[in-house]
Amino acid sequence: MRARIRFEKQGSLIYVGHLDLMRYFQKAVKRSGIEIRYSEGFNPHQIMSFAAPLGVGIESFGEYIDIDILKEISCEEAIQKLNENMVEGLKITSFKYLNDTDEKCMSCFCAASYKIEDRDNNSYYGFDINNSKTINSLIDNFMSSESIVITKETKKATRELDLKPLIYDFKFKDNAFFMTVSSGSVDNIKPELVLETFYNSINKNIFDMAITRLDMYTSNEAGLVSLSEVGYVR
Amino acid sequence: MRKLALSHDILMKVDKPSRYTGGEFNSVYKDLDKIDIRFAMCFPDVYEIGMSHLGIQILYNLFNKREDTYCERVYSPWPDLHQIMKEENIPLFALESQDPLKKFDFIGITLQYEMCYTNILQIIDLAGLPILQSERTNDCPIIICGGPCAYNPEPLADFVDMFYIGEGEVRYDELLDLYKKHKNSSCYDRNAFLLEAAKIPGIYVPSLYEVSYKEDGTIASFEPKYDDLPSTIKRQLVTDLDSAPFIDKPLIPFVRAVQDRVVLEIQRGCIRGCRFCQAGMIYRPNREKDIDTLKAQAKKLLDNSGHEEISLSSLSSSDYHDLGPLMDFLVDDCVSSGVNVSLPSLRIDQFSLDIMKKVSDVRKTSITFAPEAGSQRMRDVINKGLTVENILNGSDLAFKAGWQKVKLYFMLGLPLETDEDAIAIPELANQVAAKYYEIPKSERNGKCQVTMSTSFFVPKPFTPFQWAPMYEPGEYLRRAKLVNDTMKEQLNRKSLRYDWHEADVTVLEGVFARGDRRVGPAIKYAYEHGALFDAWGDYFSYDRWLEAFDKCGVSLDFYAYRQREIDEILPWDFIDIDVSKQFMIKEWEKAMTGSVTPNCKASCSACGQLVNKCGVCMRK
Repeated sequence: MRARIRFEKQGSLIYVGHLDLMRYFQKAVKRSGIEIRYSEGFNPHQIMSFAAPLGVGIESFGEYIDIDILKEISCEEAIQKLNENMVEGLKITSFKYLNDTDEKCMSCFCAASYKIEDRDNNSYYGFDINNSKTINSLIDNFMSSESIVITKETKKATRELDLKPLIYDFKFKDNAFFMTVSSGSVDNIKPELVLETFYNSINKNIFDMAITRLDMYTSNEAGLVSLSEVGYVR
Repeated sequence: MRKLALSHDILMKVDKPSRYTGGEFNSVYKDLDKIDIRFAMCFPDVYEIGMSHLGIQILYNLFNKREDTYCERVYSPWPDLHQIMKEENIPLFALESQDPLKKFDFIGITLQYEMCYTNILQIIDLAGLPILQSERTNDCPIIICGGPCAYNPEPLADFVDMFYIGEGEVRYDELLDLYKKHKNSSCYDRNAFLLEAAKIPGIYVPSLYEVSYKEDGTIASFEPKYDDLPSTIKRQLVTDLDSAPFIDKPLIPFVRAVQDRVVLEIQRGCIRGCRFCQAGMIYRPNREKDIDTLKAQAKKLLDNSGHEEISLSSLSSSDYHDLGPLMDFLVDDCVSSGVNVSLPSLRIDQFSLDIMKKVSDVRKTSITFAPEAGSQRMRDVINKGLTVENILNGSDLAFKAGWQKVKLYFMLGLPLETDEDAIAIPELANQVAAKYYEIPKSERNGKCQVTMSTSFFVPKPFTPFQWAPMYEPGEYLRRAKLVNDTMKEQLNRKSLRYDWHEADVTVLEGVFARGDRRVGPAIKYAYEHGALFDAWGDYFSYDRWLEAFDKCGVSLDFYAYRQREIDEILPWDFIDIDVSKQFMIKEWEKAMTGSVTPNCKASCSACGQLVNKCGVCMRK
């Protein structure tokens, strides 16, 4: 049976890269005693997949792993056993079983929400005073244009990309920027890119960004749904 | 959340920042107000190398079991961070608390290989301490070093407060108790502590001993400064491994360690007595752990780590008496619970092949032999018993079982070696390949691959070869070229491959291994001129060392190329490892006539180890 784990990554753990984190979880699951399924062959590995890698230096409150397990265990017990094998900076916050029809988080993940703050606490994001109204009206202005085209340079070529349809939400609140953007295998947008483009458009220099991923989403008829809303508790 | 010593900006600039942030699973956190002694355990190389070392984990667990002691870890900052720390004056810190090393009571550094000596100076320097021992004041931590290179501590005598000679599990409690007594007194004086510590068996305080030299440069005398100090330092030995301190909770690094698996130490010491091998002498006698101890330890280590692979560690695993049942246990118990078994190098016979087939893909792994010398004559000189018959029979069994890759390890530059002996190496490899092609074509699956690998021999202290001369880098390379050229003339050359080691590092290793106190200044000079991570090809500069030797009067002729006299006082003679010099001399003479010495299980050769009354010496 398949299950989905949600975890948080903070503090000094932000410096642990994705591959190292995967290796960490493989050992943690083993220590916890949860009977995870292994692949066949001479080099068996755990059937475990992450929704998406999190860049080094970024905190997160919403990261996801789908695993395939052999023996059922109560969700509460799973969370407890896993948390016994975590370290400061990592915390399991949810464990839910998936239905056969639920897609793997790696494939169905399509959007992510972020909070961006100024690492240098003393500045007001480049404005004279902390003025949420001003900033929000500038954001509204930015988002009201027909398109927000940027040039994206890849190793092969330079292409043009319209950010507007890929930004689902963008506001300034409680002294921080919040946004929800398209993510995943198709049209993956980094929050830094959106903010840099915005600051460019208002002729200001971008500040030193401290980024936190808040959650990751898939979509259904109703719209965006948090990956943690999928599945059921047993 | 812990506050980190390095800023976000710096961590985002350097390679693999989690090398420096600590917080690993099973790392220990103690309340500083409740402890008396802070110990910083250091492996002087990069994090991924250091985290693979078993010894530090054993001591980490041992010290942290003491309620009054808090042991943390520190590893060499990689050159990118080293640069930043020097520029911005950031003091070196321990991983757990992120506190500067200067605040600690002890800094313990393990000496595993000679090429890390400049990294030792890096640790002391980045910690903000005087590199020279003589300049340290009462607020400086005590710097203590141990490990195999400590058996010739002299090249580092200028920099180290004390050396611990032998196995760490034995004397540390006594040393820490003594330190606590001094620290708690109203007038702590580091020299008074060192003076009393020097009387603990196994502890060597170089500043309390004086060396004088003869005109020819060899040692005239080596004396303690005071009468009540021991003139001989006794190597410390764990007599019962089954009850020795063990790692309950292995540290799990975030950055992938070189050994990303459980490493289970099954025994210490070796019965074989190969004459080039230092480990075989300094870890005598061979002491095995009981199989029930091992089964329990394996299970505990796997449960507490979550590792998916386990490997065995010992000098000669094939000699472990209960190897069969041990392998059965590992294969049956571990493989079924999703744990891979990584095999140590084993004698190649039907028994080990059966085991290997169970745990590895025969098409991908290789069979390894370590003949160490190409001709039987040379193998007798070095007392390595492997015969051509052993190798060819073993290869034959392996090939028939499906293996296609063989690896052969040799050394070049051994005493009494001639060009004929070097040529015998590729000829032997060729014979192995020929064995493969004896199998009918229909039963084979393509070509076989026989790889020869040679390193250049470095004479080490406390071996029968400690008097042997070394050669100039050009001569080592000439011999390697001879092997390479001869390989190209072999019938089965298309199935043969050859790689060889660096020659200039070899000579340097030789100078440090058998050096004396006069080598120290050259190490300091080299470090101050940029030498760091010398064990890493990318960072090693032979020219820089030649300059250091030149400026400091260190002669390669004297320390490396010269054959030493039997009656010479060697820099390490003051250490007693319970293997007598007479035994070494006898072995050196037997080597000259190609005469073989049987292994400890076959018969006792009275090396001197019997006084310890443990291990193989007591077997009936």
